[in-house]
Amino acid sequence: MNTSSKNNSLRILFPLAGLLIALAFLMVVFYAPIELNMGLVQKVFYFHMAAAWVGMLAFLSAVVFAIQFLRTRELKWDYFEASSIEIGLVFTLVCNFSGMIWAKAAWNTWWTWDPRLTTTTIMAFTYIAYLLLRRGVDEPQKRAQFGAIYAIIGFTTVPLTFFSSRLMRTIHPVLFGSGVQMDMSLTPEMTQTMIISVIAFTVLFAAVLLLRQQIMTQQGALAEAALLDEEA
Amino acid sequence: MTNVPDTLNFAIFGYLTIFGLLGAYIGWLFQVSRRLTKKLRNQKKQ
Repeated sequence: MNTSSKNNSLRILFPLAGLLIALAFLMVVFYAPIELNMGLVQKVFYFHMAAAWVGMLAFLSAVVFAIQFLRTRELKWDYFEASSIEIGLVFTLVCNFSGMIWAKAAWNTWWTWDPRLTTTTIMAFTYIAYLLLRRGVDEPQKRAQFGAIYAIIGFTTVPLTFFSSRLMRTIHPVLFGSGVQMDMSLTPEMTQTMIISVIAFTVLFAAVLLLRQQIMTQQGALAEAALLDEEA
Repeated sequence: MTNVPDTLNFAIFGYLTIFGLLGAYIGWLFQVSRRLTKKLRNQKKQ
């Protein structure tokens, strides 16, 4: 994808994401019913869940980009991979902080060392370490190779997080897949609102990914030019 | 009739956190992108 077609995609994706988020927000406020046990704070769940989904999707995308880099050795895949991880981390932090606010209202505590919360924190720190360690490698190809291997190994924390509340005893609500701990069942209106929120954040992820990758490409070009200047 | 707990403040705080964090990150990205585009354009001129 060249720069102008990428700019066109950005011009479409950002307004589309904005519209979808606005629609999801209106559905949250006016369409989804109020949950009787928790009250209005339950409405944080729609974007909390969407943020968790995008976080995991971003880390999975990073693995695909990492494999692409290892196959082709093209730096653009490294930029996609690092962008994906950075965005995934931002969404994971959004998920964690909004979850803490929900927890204070629902469990009367900001934080508890529940398996889901603990594994999410481990996952976040694994990817924070990725971003910090990347900065320590100057040579682009070496940095990309290190990043690709780290992204693949680091991904093991994602299924660990996903399955933690299904395999271990937890107080975190489980909505799909287990059928055991459904302490927050959803009405059809709630499910529809959740689906729109997830789609909205997924489109936002695609838009931000393209923008971040474009920035990394520009930074790479500038660094290369500076290096050529030094040599000349 | 069930008494629904009043958790409006938490809901507002939750939404401010979600969109505040995302807004700050995306805003920062646009700022960096604009600065880099300018820098590259100047470099090309030189």
